[in-house]
Amino acid sequence: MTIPRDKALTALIPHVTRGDIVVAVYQTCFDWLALNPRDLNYVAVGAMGQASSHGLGLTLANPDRRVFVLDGDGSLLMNLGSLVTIAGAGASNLYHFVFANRVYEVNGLQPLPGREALDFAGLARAAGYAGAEAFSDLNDFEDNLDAILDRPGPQLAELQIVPGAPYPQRYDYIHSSEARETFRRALNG
Amino acid sequence: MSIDKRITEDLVSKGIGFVTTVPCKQLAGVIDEIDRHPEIKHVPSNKEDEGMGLCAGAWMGGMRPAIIMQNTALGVTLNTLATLTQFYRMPLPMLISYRGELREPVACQVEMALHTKALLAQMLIPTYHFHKQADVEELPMILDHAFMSNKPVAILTDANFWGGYGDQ
Repeated sequence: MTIPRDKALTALIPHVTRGDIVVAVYQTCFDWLALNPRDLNYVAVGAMGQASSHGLGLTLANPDRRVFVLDGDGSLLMNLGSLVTIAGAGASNLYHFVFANRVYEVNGLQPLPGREALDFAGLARAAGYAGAEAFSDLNDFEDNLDAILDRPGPQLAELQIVPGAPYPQRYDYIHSSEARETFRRALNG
Repeated sequence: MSIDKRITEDLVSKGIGFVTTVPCKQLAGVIDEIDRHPEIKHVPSNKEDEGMGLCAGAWMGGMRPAIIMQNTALGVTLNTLATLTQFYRMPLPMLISYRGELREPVACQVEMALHTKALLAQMLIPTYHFHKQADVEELPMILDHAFMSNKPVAILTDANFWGGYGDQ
């Protein structure tokens, strides 16, 4: 069983409050920007794999805000050590969602190495996250979201996803100074 | 013969039996071809420096290796190239998609394109640039050169070589 990515993102929307920071990457970022445009959406695509580290930096700089990281599975595999860093930093306000489709989606759909056995929730628990769960059913994910977000972080939710409705790849916005200025103004305003 | 098949056959004809890859849209076809070839052990890597470690092991274990990767990763592999591949005089053909050149649709890719040839020159890595598909004629010679000289060699393949990005 799998979850369409846009349905998982839509389920998240009511749980993201005005002051929360959301870090999203690659196709999840494009989908999130279309589904829930907001000033505290942090966009950075370029150095692949850095979403979790961006998220930790934002978390440490903003201990009074919650930070949602909407990560890709291929991306996280490029920066797996960040799980240990995040756990070690005790990032109690960080909520890490891994959108696991088991392929490099924007690079040509090549399968991830070892994708059959990959267990990101298990990796997060072993790294010292406060909690980690995996979901392959949308209703199950929705039913558990409140509980996950009620617990102190770092928490990880691994979502077995398939592409949902297609949203445009707005690299022009992601690369724009406008995106960064909007974020900074919202953070400091 | 497709360019993907041609490259794969050239690798096999030069005795390369181990290939590791970190994907790029441009390289999808050749990665598929390599994955299907019965005479190549293909192991995808999560990161390019991990792939270079794999290639070192394969070489020391008796196989001829190659790595397929994107130029944007060159920066994170410099230490591995210097202290492993070059220091121990290991041959390593690197087939590299040269993102950020003409026809590039993603602006941030241009930044590493500006550094790619300068970094390779600084590292004294023999570098060849495939711009037209006819340039692939040189691939067998380049592979010979890598294994003759016991050096990493870079083969930069730009968007024109691959025929654009499929949307142009």
